Amino acid sequence: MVRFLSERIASAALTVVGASLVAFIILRAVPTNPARLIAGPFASDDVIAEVERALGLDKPIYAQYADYLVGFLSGDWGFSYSTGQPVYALIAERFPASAELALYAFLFAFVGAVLMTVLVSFTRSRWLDRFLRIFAFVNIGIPPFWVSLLFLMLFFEQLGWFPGPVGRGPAPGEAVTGYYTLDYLLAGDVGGFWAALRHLALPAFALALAPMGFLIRLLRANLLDVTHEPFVTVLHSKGVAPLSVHFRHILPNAFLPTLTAGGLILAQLLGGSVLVERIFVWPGVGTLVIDGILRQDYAVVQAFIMLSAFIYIGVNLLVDIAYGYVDPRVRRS
Amino acid sequence: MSEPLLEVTGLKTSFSTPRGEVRSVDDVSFTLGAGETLGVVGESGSGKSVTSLSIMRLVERGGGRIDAGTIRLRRGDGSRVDLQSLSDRRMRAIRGNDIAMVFQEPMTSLDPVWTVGDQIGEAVRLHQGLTRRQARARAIEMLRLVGIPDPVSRADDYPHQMSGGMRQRVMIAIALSCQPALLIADEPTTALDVTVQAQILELIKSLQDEIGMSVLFITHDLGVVAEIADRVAVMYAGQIVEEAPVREIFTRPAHPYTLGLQQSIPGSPASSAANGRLKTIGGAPPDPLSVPAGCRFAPRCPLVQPACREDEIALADVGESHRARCIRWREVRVR
Amino acid sequence: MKQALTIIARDAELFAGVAVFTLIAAMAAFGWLLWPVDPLQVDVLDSLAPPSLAHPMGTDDVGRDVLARFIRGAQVSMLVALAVTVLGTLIGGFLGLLAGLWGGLFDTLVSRIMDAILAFPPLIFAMAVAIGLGPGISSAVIGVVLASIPWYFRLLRSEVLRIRTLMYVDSARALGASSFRLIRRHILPQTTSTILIQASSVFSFSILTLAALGFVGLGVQPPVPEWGTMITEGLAFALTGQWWLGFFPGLGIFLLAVSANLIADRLRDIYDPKSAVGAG
Repeated sequence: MVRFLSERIASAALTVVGASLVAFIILRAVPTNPARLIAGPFASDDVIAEVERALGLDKPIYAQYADYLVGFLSGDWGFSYSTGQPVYALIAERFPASAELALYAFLFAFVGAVLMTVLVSFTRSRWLDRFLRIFAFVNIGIPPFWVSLLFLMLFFEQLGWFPGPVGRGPAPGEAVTGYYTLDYLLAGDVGGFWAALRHLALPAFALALAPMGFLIRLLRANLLDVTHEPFVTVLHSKGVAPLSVHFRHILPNAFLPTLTAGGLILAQLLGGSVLVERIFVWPGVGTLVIDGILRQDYAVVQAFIMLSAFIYIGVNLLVDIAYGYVDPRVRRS
Repeated sequence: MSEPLLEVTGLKTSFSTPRGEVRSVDDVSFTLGAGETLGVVGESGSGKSVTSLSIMRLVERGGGRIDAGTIRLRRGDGSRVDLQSLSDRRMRAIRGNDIAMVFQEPMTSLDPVWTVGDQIGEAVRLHQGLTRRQARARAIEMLRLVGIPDPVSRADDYPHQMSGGMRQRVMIAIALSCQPALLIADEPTTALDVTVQAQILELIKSLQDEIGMSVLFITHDLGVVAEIADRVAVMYAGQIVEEAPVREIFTRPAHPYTLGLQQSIPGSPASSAANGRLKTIGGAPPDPLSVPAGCRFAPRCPLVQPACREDEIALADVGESHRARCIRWREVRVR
Repeated sequence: MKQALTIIARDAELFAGVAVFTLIAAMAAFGWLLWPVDPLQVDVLDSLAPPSLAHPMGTDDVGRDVLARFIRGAQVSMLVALAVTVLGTLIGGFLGLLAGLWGGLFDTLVSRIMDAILAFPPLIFAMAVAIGLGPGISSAVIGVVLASIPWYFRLLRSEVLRIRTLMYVDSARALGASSFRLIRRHILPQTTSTILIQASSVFSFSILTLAALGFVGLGVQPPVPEWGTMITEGLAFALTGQWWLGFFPGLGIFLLAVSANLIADRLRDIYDPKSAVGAG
């Protein structure tokens, strides 16, 4: 187990170095004037000189990269010149809003995909199966920002069932965790919890569609594969009831590969709500990033790019380790 | 033999394939007495595995259908049931309990995410209502019975931690855990090394003596049959072409196909009679979509004559408890 | 060719995918002949007009015809996605081939770089490249191409390794065949179907990613009509009743992406029947 853990951690560390190197090359080495890129086209020469000093552009390139990586790891993510605040503080402040949205989207995607696929596979209806496949396709091909727009036009403007693009709704009195639904629950305010949930519903669902389609396809293929394994015939020959074969044997087997995919999807969602946040005016990291792009204030964007790679690698590592605990084949070999 | 344990009469099973309906088992009848071992021999595609799956009523899962026939089983309390007429629920109470099955592929026949102990315990909990703890005790007892060393800790192993031979022992432990009256073994040794094959055969024989069950042993290997069976049924293209006590089959085969099979085994009386030269049967089994009229073996038969190709040939008595499906059975000789 | 047509005619889903795809491609190629309206022509007096016979998809906030812009957007998306798919296939595929054939240091090095790229969510990586090179269509294309290269790389590399273990390549090698000959005669014929399938999914990915880059302002720059930026422009009017501004470009992205995906999936089932729904 120790060897397994250290192998995975070493491999993740190597990927961190690789990813940061790639980011460094793209964002620092390729642009002719990285200081101008960070401070924006309207920055004064003084500011540019200051940024150049901060970036250490006079140092040799490998020293610059070392500074870049160490700076990022120690939370020194630069300075946002349009807001006059350190990037780390800006992102930290907005992170809970994005994370809450991503977690609910993940919940929708995962629960929805599992429920639908399992039910359809259990009915063994060809018709429902075809419907599910097409549903998965449609989900994967839908641009998330477009479906957000459609949701708003339909469920807010036309039907009035959900709140419009006003962000997260009223903030709870006391911010303990930064997650509105959780804070309301902690405060025992059911009405507030419900309101927060209603604000989350449309963006989370819009964000969930593509991963849901992806998970359905994966789970469906796995279920089919496992159903045709010889051990399933053996189970029937033992007199095990179909329901039990399905839920206690086929599902656990089909589920394991989905776990890995689930982790990757969560990581993508944490860094990928950029498109949907913009439309719902969600006060999260995504909106911050788009504002950064529009104002050509790229310090925020650059930090975000590195951050999403780190989240991706980190979640991947956690999933690997979790997989090692769950799957007996990985655990002991 | 007054009351046979299993009586199969006129069994017909077919599969629908993209190219058309395939009759995999066509009018198969046989009986199996208590404590007896019947070896069913045939090439792949001869319908021997489909026969066993039909008895278990597991052909529907593979897209098959039983068209005709009765399968009567005498249960432990002496009552006789027609498996075909049972509800799914009552059939499940028979599977794994009265009739158990061991399959060909030990590597893929076990659920990879359950421990072997739990997989053995599953059947006994289901059929005998044992508690979790009792089931585990039974599982360990069964592992010891099938000769797995250190059964207490091995019960917590997962299938991937075991070798092929060990897994087949586990499969046998699962099958025997409820002390079935009938064990169907579908090529249980085919995927194993030769040395392990002998061990598994020995194991099945000794356990059969201990529990007193009947065995339906399906194989393509006449050599294996010689070692384990009391009687032999030879199948060809979905039909039984000859059935006889094991000694009769080897000393006085009454079907050219049976003889041909024997001549292709080194060291068999038939091949020794031919000065140790091995012969093969020319040609290939018929396309299941278009079986020839008359004798299905006629296209490959050295004794064929025009009459063979006309009418369906019946399985007729050719000696004491010896039946063959050949009109020239008197001329079949081990030279 | 005739055989391909029979396959398409037999499979309803593949047929639908090919039909929609061809329709949009035809519109991109010939739409401007049938609807000869300038997509950049401003007409403030006729702004925000709902769909009508004169403007089947309505007009935008400065009175430009949305259908004409939709057609030009289709051209942009098609051309760019095509360029991305071709470049990605060529570069990623070539690197994968070489890594699989040569192995050693080259393989290790390139594999590590690909892993590093894969550590970024694809959209974020494309964003990074677009920022590093400065916003615009060419940096967006380069970004999406770079993001798609690792997929081809991995695919081709594993295919080559698989095929290499088959006997006949070794014997060809023993007979003194050069790497180039090996690729052309033995490996490419075996992998074309796999590459084709991968290319159709990448096409769908690049349509979606380009639109997303346009949406955040890093892709095609105004006033060139591009479906992603058109949605951004329509955002402000979506909830005031002018739904057509954002609706039609999104529909275009959606139809193109889904049809490309559908084609990829059906091809996979046809070439690899094992992955299709089995009997049971």
